[in-house]
Amino acid sequence: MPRFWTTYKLLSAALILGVASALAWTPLQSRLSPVSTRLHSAVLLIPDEAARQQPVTQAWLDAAHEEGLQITTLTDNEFIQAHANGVQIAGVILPDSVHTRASQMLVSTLHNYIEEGGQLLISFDAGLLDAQSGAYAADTSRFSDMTGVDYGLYAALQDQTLGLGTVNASRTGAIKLAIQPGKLDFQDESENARGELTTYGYTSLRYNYYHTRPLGQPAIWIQSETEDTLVSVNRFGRGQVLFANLPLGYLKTRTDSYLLHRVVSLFNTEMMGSPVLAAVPNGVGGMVLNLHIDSNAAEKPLVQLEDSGWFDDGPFSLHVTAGPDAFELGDHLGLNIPQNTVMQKFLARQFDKGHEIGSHGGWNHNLFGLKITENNESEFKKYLELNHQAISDVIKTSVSSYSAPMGNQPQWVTDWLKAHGFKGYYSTSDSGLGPTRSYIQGKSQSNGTLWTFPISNFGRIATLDELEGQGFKEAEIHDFIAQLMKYVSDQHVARLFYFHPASSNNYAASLTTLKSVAAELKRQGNFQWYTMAQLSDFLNLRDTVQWSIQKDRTSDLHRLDAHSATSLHTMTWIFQKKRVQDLRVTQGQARIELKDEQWLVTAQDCDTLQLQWRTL
Amino acid sequence: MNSQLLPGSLTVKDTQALQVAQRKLNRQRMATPHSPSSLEAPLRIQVPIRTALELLVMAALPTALLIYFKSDLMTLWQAIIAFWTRALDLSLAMQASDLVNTTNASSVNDGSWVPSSRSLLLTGVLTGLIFFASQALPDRYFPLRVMLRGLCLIETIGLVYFWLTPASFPFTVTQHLYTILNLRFDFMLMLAPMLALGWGILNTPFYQKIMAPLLFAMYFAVMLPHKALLHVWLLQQASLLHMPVLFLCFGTLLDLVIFIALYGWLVSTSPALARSD
Repeated sequence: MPRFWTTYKLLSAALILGVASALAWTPLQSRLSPVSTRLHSAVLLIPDEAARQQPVTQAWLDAAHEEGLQITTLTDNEFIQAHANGVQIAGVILPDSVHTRASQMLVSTLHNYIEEGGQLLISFDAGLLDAQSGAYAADTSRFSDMTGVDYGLYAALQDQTLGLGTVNASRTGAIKLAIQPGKLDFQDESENARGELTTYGYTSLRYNYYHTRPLGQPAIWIQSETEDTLVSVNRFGRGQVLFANLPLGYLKTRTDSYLLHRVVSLFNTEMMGSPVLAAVPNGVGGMVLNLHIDSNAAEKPLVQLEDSGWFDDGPFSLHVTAGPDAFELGDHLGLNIPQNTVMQKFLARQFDKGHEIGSHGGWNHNLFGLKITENNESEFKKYLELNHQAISDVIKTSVSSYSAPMGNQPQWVTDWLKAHGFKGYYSTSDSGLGPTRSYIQGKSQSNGTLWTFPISNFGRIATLDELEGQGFKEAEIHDFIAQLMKYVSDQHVARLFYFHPASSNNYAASLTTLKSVAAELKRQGNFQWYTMAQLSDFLNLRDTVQWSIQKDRTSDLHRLDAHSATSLHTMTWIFQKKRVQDLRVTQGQARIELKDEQWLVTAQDCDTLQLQWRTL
Repeated sequence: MNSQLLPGSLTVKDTQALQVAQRKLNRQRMATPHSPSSLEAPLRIQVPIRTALELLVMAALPTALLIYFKSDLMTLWQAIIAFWTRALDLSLAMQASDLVNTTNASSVNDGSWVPSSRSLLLTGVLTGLIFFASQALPDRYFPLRVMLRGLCLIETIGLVYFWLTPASFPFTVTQHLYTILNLRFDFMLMLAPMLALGWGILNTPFYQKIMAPLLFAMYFAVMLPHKALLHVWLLQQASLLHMPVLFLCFGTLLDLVIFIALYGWLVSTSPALARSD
């Protein structure tokens, strides 16, 4: 018996020591590690590991990466443990659709986090439901006090809990969210006017949102037509909460990403204040100018443009429909590239100058654009291949950029582009965004290297030819073009604009604006023309950059560490001047310049870079 | 009977009578206090109608008063809690109406702290030490050893829970407070019937049978919210890790132990030969 009890005691002691050691490992590690504490720039909260792979989760992560944020995912357990252990987190995102359920423990922890000075972005239905039962957790959202807005009022409103309507931004909201020219339709010039969010081809955009009632005094940037709060910022304790009453993540998985990207960007610039990795080389904003050469009607205007020196600028992105017909078989209105030596030489000259030559559809512009569906791949794939081959033969290089006639691009076309190593394609979806990884019906369209280049809409149109149909005067669109170019320059982003050279003679003023504004901005060093392939290559390289931010445990000294397996050359980090001081390079080579209240740190040819700064 | 008669001292008839008397004596030793003078007391309890009516009044009247004045009692508890919340600077906000419906418990920041890794470590080590130390207790402290090990077991389950899945812990400090206050009210409803069955059938004056449960209720009405506040203060000073121990071992169970202690004291004050007839 005594021997048994001795063994029992020894086993119990070993068990306790083992458990204690396992529990102690994390705090011991942090005590033994270097002085700095890992600082999460932004955290996307997911309920569990399984949610990591959901499309909406990936959509949020993609949006954050494309906007240049350093972001990671944490499960609820990990976040609660991190908060209990005092890990500093710059911002927390509670996404829609993926995180509809939340435990009271998570809600309480988020309350504590915000009161202590944290920043929270909460979207739509996040955390509305009880974690156990799946029913609405309370008569109003448990985050209502933090958002300053009562919403999720199921008990009171029942089947009227959700509304459906347009999205309308105030002028201040448009500035805060950096909404680009053309996206908002302000009915008048007054300061109090609200601009309705627009997109290409739709008379109005209508979204689901929760009906709201005022609770506090948040700053409201976007409202519904019935004055429900859609985007607002509220101070709570020492922190802030950005409330987006729209299913942003879900919308991104359904080709409507614009608001998600703007809200994520706002969350960083106005609240977290973390540096971002620019989505353009050297932090120089620019534009992809995409010419759609559909038929032989473009031949003479192209020659005229060349003669006027138009193509001495650039590089531009020229997409060509190569077949002999344009509307129907046998009409001979196409460019007929294989037999058209004039156009062959033209394309070869432009390619030699550095312009990008791409494929515009499948051989016959209107036939292909109007007839292809999800189910007739076997009938029309050969036209895609014919077009690709004809153009590749002319420039003696495999074409790598594409645009769909009529904007009609079934899934099989995208799959074909991926299989043939294409780098980018024009799209009428996600309008207003820069190059992005788009989603259709919840499915990512990228294979990792293929990028979507959405159009930049001007209200409900996107190019010069559509002006007359919408009752616009040309002066309005060339104002828009100038403003858009200034926007990309100021914001250090890239956007796509396209036009048909066939109508260039009708819109000479707009094309002149394009050239003159570009020239002026280039002279200032703030603008660059890009091709799809250039930006795609840059963005793929950018994806390989590993970088993180740490904060010294004992001071307000921050450190950014970046590394690339190849080179960090042209990678640029943008800091808000009002947030940092004593910014300096402590390892590697980089150029630091101040532009419009922002510090731009552009890496030179090195594979490792370290920056340090103090927060203001 | 341990003494033995010499063979031949008793007749068979005497022996049989002796055995009958022995059995009656044994029964008498087992007789309940309710009828100490009756050898057959355990076999037949006589409750006169008057006593039964007194029991009914003793059980029903205080309970009915408690139910009738529930909202006033909740208001009193809310006032007590509000007073001490301000005095102790606790992070707590509650409405008396919420005490009726815990699903409306406020989600404001109520100091529901999840234990840090360091807290888990220290608590784990301490729990282990207590568990080990209980082994060294002498056998006469066996009940204490069992109790300590029970506490260690509950605390260990809490440790594992918060280590693995803190997000799913379903209770905040506010919900704990609401739950235990509601449970305590339900417990108070049982005071009068328990007293009636355990003490009310003793032969004591009727006014004492009315006053005792009322005094019990008054005592618990003041003690219970203070004990609940002590829970809140401990949880906010430490963390939610200790909520299971507080709830299971120092909640209603402790109230019951206190009730039993008070009941024992009450019975000890009754006349030695009090009986119901």
